[in-house]
Parts: sequence; C-alpha cells; structure tokens
Amino acid sequence: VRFTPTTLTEAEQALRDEVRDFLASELPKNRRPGLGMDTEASPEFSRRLAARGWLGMTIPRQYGGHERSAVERFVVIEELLAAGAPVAAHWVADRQIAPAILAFGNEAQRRRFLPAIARGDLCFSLGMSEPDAGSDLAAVKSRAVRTRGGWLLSGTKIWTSRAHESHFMVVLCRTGEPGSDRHDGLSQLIVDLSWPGVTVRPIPFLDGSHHFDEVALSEVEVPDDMVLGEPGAGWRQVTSELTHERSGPDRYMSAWKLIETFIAEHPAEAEQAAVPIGILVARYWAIHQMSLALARAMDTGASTSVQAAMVKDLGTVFEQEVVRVMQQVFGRDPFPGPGGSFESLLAQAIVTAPAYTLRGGTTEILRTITARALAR
Amino acid sequence: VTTYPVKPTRSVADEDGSAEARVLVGELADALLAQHCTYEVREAAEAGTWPARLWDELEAAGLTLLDSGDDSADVDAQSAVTVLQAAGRAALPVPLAEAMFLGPGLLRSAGADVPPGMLAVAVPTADDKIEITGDAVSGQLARVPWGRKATHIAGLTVHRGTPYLYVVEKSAATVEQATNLAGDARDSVSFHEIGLRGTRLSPDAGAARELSLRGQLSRAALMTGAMQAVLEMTTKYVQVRQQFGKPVISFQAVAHRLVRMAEEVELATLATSAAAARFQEVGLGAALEVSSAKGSCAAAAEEVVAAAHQLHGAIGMTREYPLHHFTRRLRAWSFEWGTGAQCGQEIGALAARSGAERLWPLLTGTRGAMP
Repeated sequence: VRFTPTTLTEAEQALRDEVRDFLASELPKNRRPGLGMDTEASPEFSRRLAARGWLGMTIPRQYGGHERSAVERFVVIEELLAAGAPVAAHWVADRQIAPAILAFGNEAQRRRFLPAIARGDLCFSLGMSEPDAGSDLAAVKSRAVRTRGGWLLSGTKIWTSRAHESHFMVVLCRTGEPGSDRHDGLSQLIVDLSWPGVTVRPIPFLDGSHHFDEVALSEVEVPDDMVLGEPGAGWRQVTSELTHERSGPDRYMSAWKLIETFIAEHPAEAEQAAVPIGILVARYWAIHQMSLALARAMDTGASTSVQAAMVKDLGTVFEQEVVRVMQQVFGRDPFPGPGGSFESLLAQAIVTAPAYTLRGGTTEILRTITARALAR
Repeated sequence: VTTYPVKPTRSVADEDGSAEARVLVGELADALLAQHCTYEVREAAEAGTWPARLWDELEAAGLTLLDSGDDSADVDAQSAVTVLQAAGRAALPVPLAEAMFLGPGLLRSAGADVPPGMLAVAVPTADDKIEITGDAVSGQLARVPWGRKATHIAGLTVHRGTPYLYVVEKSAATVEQATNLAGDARDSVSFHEIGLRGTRLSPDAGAARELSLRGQLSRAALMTGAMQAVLEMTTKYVQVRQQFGKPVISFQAVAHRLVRMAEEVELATLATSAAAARFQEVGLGAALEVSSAKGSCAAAAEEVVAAAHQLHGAIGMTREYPLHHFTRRLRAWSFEWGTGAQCGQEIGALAARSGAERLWPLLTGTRGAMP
C-alpha cells in the first residue's frame, strides 16, 4: 500500500492558474463560501464550469467529455473546493456517476447520460443507505422484481444527499437471492426521481438545514434499459466507485476556509498561533500530496481502493482536527450567522464536522478495509 | 571489504532525475546494511565501539560520498533521501547523513572543498556558541554526531552581520563524549581560538537556510525508514502472536491501531519523497515542503512509536527485542533539526507572512505565492 509521489507538469500547473482566474472573476466577492463540498447547489455555476470543459473531464469526447486525466480533474476540483465554490449541483454526478456509467453502462446509457452530465445539466443522487443498511451496505432490502421488460422496485433509501434537487438516483437493490455470497444478487438501477411511486421527504440536518432526504420507492416501474451494468453485479460495481468517492480533495478540504478566513480576519492572532496553524498547514500539504499521488496512480490504471480508504481516513479525521484546533485558537464560542466570516463558518463547521468521518464510509469501515490488506 | 552486485559510482548516483538509479542505490544500501548493520553491531556501537567494518563497507560502496565531489550546483537530494531511508530501516548508528549529505552540501554552498576523512556537522541546539575574534574562531557545540571520530567539524556562524563557514580540525578541539536517547554518539565539542585558516567567508546568506533544510530532510528520511521497519515488524508480530486462541490482529481494536500506524507511515514517507523532489527542483524555495515533511514525520512518529509498543506488548519493552533500536532513534531524530512544534512555527510564520490570499498558492507551489 505504498504511494508513489508525483509532481504537476507545467501544463497541469497552468490549468490550476486557469481555474483560479476563472473563479476569481466568476464568484461574487462577498458571498459565503462553502466548506468544501458542503455548499449550495448552483446549476447555473455548474453549467458555466461545464462550458469551460471542467465537468466530465475524464470522459471520452464521443460522450461529450474532455478526455483529460484524473490528475487534471484533481487540479480542477481542488481549486473549486479551496475557493468554496458552489459545486453541489454536479458533485456526485461528476465524481462517481459519470465514471460508473462509462465503466458499466451500455452504449445507450452512455449516450443519454454522459453528455448531459458533462454539460452540467444533470444532478444525481446515490441511493445506497437504508434504515437497516448503513455500514453494512450489502444488507439493503430494497428489492426489484422482474416484470415483462423491466423491474418493479420497492424500498426506502435514507441520507440521500440532494434527492430533492436531483433528476436521477442510482439505486443499489436486491434483484436476486444472495446464495453462498451475500454480495451476490445485488444490482444498480437508474431511477428517474419524477417517476410515479417515488416520494422524496426531507430529513432535516442537525443544524436545521436541508440537504439530505428519505426516498420512498413504492412499486416503481424501472425499464430494462435503466439497469446499470449486469444484474447481480451491483456489489462489484459499487465498490469500484469507491476509489472515486474516497480519494479526492473533498475528503480533506472541508475546513480549509477556516484557516484562510482566520488569517485574513485575525492576522495578529494568527501570528501568535503560528505553531498550531503551521502544524495544520504542514498536514494539508502532506495529505494533498497523497491524494494527488492517488490521482496519478488512477491514470496508470492501478488498483487503488485500499489507498483510497487510507486517504479518506487520514483526510476526514484531519478535517475534524482542523475544526478542533481552530476552535481552540479562536478561544470563544462562535455564533452562527449568515455571512462568510471566520466565526460563522467555524460555527457551522463545529456542528457539522462529525459528518466528515461518516459520509462515504465510516472511519471504522475504512480501517477494516485497510487492515485486511495489511494482513495479506 | 566485500563487493556488492551494484556499485553506485558517481555516474549512477548522479543521473539526474533517474528514478531507476535511485532504486538501485536504495537496494544496494538495504542489502549492505542487512549484512553489516545487525542488532549486534548496533548494540556494540551503543556500548561505545565505533563500527569500523560497517563504516568501511559504506565508504567502499560509495555511500558516504554520494553527494560530493564536483562543484556542480545540482544536488541529488533524492538519492541522499533514498539512501538515508535505507539507513533508517536499519537503525543505522553512524553519521552517514552528516558525511554524505549535510557536510558536503554545506561546504559546497560556500564554495569550499570537502576535506578528506570524516566530516561532522553539529545538530544545532540553543546552547551552541561560536565566536570569531580577529582571525580566530572559538566555540562550543553541544551535539556533534560522532564528534569523537570526526576528522573535521564544519558549521556556520554569523559575525558582525556576515555569515561565515568554519571548518575546524577535530585534533585541535576538545571532545566530551555523550549519547542521545538512542545511545547514538552526540558529543560535545569545544575549541578555543583556532586560526581562521580554512575558514571561508560565505557571501550567500542562504547557506544557513539550506543547511537547515538539509538537516530536516535528512532526519525525515531516517525517520521514514525507521517507521517503515517498525510497521513491518509490528504487522508481522500481530499476525504471529496468538491470544484467546487466535492471532491478535483478528481483534478489531488491534487491527485498527495497526492501520493508524500504516497511514502515518505512508503519509510521512510520501511527504518526505515529495519534499526531496521539490528541494532538488527549487532549493530554498522548498521551505514549506521540507518543514512540512519533517513536521509530518514528528507527528507520525508519535503515533507509530506508541502504537508499535502497544501492539507488541511486553516483548517490545525488552532489550533483546530490536524494536527499541528503532523507536528510541525515532524519538531522538524527532528532536533533531526541528521538532514538530518548531517546524509548525516556521510554517505558521510563513503562512501568516504570506497572508490569506497567498496561502493556497504557497501550499500548492504555484503562481501567486510569495517569492
């Protein structure tokens, strides 16, 4: 489970500058920045980003993509997160749905979905967790039964991010019996959230905000052409998505704006707190190098799922450490507020940071995956 | 002197950017050290016996002078780091970093030749004193790695606003023997009004910064090697050791602690390699990267040392079991050339000076960072 260090080429560095210039002119000055991928959805912003060729970057041109490398995509999304740009509308579609459809989808699905994702026109949700299937994802009870020409899908998905703003959801469900391996008999179905039988209800977040939902599926008719990949191969497909889901800068950039706004607004205190802030900056640099190394490895086609679990564990625990340290450095209880000040961002981060090590695979699951690889 | 399959001649070690050559040098170092840097050799060194055979083999293989010789400005920091990581994996008790990387780099940055014999460079401490009076130099250095064995001791000082490089012949100095946490020789060396002959004026104020970065990089390399060895020992041990009728790694608490170790080791290793590459590319411009690497190693060592001992249980607390050769050196190397907090201070000051707008460019080494 070694990582091979890499540096950016001049062209890759130039891309970074290009994105930075775009964001400087694109984003209003006095907006409240996002905390990493915790940000608002702006379909308009997503489309402008797409117009620059920065969505669907790794997708082939024939499907509306740009045939760029994983490293180039890494550079773009790291800049977006560093700026706290409103990325939510396209985030899931661009990060893992597009690569999954490219890898497992049939020709018609690729032609239907990939160009639309690359244009920033489609918002996707992930239908994974259920009331009785969290970390133990293979325990999903949503079930699709065969009909003529399709499937009848029923079940309940929860913690589904942005289902209320999404067009489609990729649902992991059972289509067959588990047999000797409980991971058998699972499939991924693409569900149009406007179809009959789909009910989306908000699950308010602990701070009162609304970004995830419960999605009830009641005898939803799913035609055959909306099955992603092979029926029964859902587990393999889902786990292969996880490298995309776990290794990226969204797993360590959630609290970056705290550092920046603190230095901007409290320069004297920042100088006094040089030691703790310097230790955080050092670790930002190191984890950034690790995630970059993984992006480079993905470009060589290497299998990186264990390394991705390690990066996500290091990154998300570190994000929480940033919140904890900045809270101590600030030394007073921050009040929430609508503006983009350090204080209001810190208040948001303190309350929401526990999610960092839950979403996308808990710390405990990640460590169990890595332990299995170490014991080999 | 034994011969080894691959000899890192200058041409091999210096093939600029050649990752393959570096791998070969690293493999050579690993093979040599596996044979000559054994538990017994380390124990004898700690008891005060200079491991002459080990040093001779390192010299004969060309590993003590990897990075010296010509006055090219091109410094192969990555090869040095590769060899020092191998040294760390063997808990090397001799001052290879000083002889191969710090000394020659220091002398070359001042335009001086590397003298024959063993060149020592002191680990800086707040207690060091160097004074120049007329054309003589006096001083006291608290931690000179194997000062007792050195032929020359080199260092930097500032006199009336001008940086000086001094090179002192050990024979003219007084050595008081001392050892650090790991039992490695860190001698106190003092000298009084030695003629300034051999002392050169360094016009370049960057020499002190460069030496400090090399010092940090050397310790980061040694530490990552040692941490790799500790991880390997621990990974094996928890799969062999049985309790409650099964290998202890089958307990989730044990497995997860092992994973935390592995994560820290890989993070520190990658940071050190990346910092070495950056240092090779931009020299003093790599201050953030090099200090981050050393700081990452210090932070990693906290977890790695604690977890390795916890997972080994009592056997790891015995003299007989070699874990302490690594964990004690990790503790000592954590302090040398800057603790985690001292590295943090440097980076934090850089961040504050840089300002919010230029911090992200600084971190990503891109346009818009402070010059």
